[in-house]
Order: sequence, then C-alpha cells, then structure tokens
Amino acid sequence: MTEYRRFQELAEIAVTCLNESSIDYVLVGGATIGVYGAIRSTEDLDFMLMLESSEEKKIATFIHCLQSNHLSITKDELIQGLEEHSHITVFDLKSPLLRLDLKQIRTKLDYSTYNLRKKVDLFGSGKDFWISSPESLIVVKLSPEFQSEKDLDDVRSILLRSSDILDWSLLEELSMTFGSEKMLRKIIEEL
Amino acid sequence: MVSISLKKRISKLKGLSISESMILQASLIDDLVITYFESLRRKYPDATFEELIQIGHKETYYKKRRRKDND
Repeated sequence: MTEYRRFQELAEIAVTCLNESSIDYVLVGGATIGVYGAIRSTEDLDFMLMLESSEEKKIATFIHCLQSNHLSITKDELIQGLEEHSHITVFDLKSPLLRLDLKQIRTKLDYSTYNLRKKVDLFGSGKDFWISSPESLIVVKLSPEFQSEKDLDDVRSILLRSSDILDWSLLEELSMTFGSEKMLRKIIEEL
Repeated sequence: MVSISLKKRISKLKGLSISESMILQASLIDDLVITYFESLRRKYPDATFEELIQIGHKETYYKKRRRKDND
C-alpha cells in the first residue's frame, strides 16, 4: 500500500521550504491551538507569509521545494494569490485531507501577529517553527471575520489552559487596539 | 457558554509540554486521515492511490469552502 503523509511531516516540509526560500512566516490557526489550548483536528496548516509577488527568486525556490515534495501549487497560482491578497491552497498529493493554506501578511492585525510570533521546537524534533503567540491567536479568533462557535471555543480553551503564561496586559492592549475587548471580557466572565 | 467537556479536556492537558501536545494533536489528525482514507477506499475500490487522494481533496475542500469556515 502506498504510504500517505503524516501531519508532522507536512508541517516540517512546509517550514523547510520557507526557510530554504528565506521567506519569513508565522504559523497560525488550528495547528497552533494545540499548543496553547485544546487539542483538536484540523485539515490545514495556515501560514502567513512576509512575501511580495515581485520577489521572484524567493517564489521560484519556494515553489520548487514544495513541488519536489509532492505539494500541488504553481508559480502563477502563488503570484496570483499574493496579488489578489487571497488565501492560497496547496494540496498535499500524498494525503486526501491535508493542505497548506498560505496568506500574505498585509493588515495591521497580520503585522501584529507576525511581530509577536514565537520560535518553538513544535514537535520536539529539533525543527524550529515560528508560531503565533497565544495573545495574537485570541485576538484574531475574536476579530469580525472569525467568531464562529469553533473560534470562540478555541479562545475559551486558550484562556483555560494558558492562563498562567498569558501576558494579560498585552492581551488587553491588543483586544482594545483591534476592537475585541467587549467580547473578550464576556468570555472571561463566563469561564 | 463553556462546555463541561472542554473544561475536562483542558484539565487533562495541563502539564503537557508543547511537543507532547503537538504530537498528540498530530496523532489525532493522522487518525482522522487514516479513517477517511479507508472510507474512500471502500467507496471507490477500483481507484488508485492518486485518484483517492484527488477525490479526498475535492470532497473536503469544497465542503470547507461551502461552510466558509476558517479553521
């Protein structure tokens, strides 16, 4: 039977390709919830990239690395996604479910998430990942484009599990800056 | 509203290191992939590995887009 790809392997390949291409990034979304909150399933690894469509060398190296590892994306798809500021899906040709979801760092909230990112050896394998801080994750999940019941559950789980390590003054500052302080206060009161 | 099961799950996770948590999360996701792949194999017994992968992405990706859910 042909072996399909495991989640950790996909994550490590993605970061290897980003490093080889000198593309700065931050891993966000469901994959990082397990670090600070509840462990739950997700089908994609969400990366925010510090990358412009004009950076041809970085893009060419990145695409070559992804394609060499059986990840489906073309140079044109990546450039188009960057120019349109849309999400770019990279299908894993060795898994029926797993994907990479790429997005350009563009908004004030994106830059804030990037600037507050943390370097961690995510799987204890010696491979470092830049991941979102718990404070940024909370504020992103409470921003208007999110706020699904799953997002709110993610916030609750981070608050419950990581209360000891959260920088509460930073969280308050971020929630005020990005307009989520009322919702955050309500969730904290309910816990 | 905070579910009791969420609080129970969180209490079991306290004390785990980052890598222990991520390995647990990765194994949960891998199990999901295995279960899904086997269900595809039963549904399409004559399909090749590559075809099953493509079918899987079509089913799950479009489902996700319909939900407009960003996870």
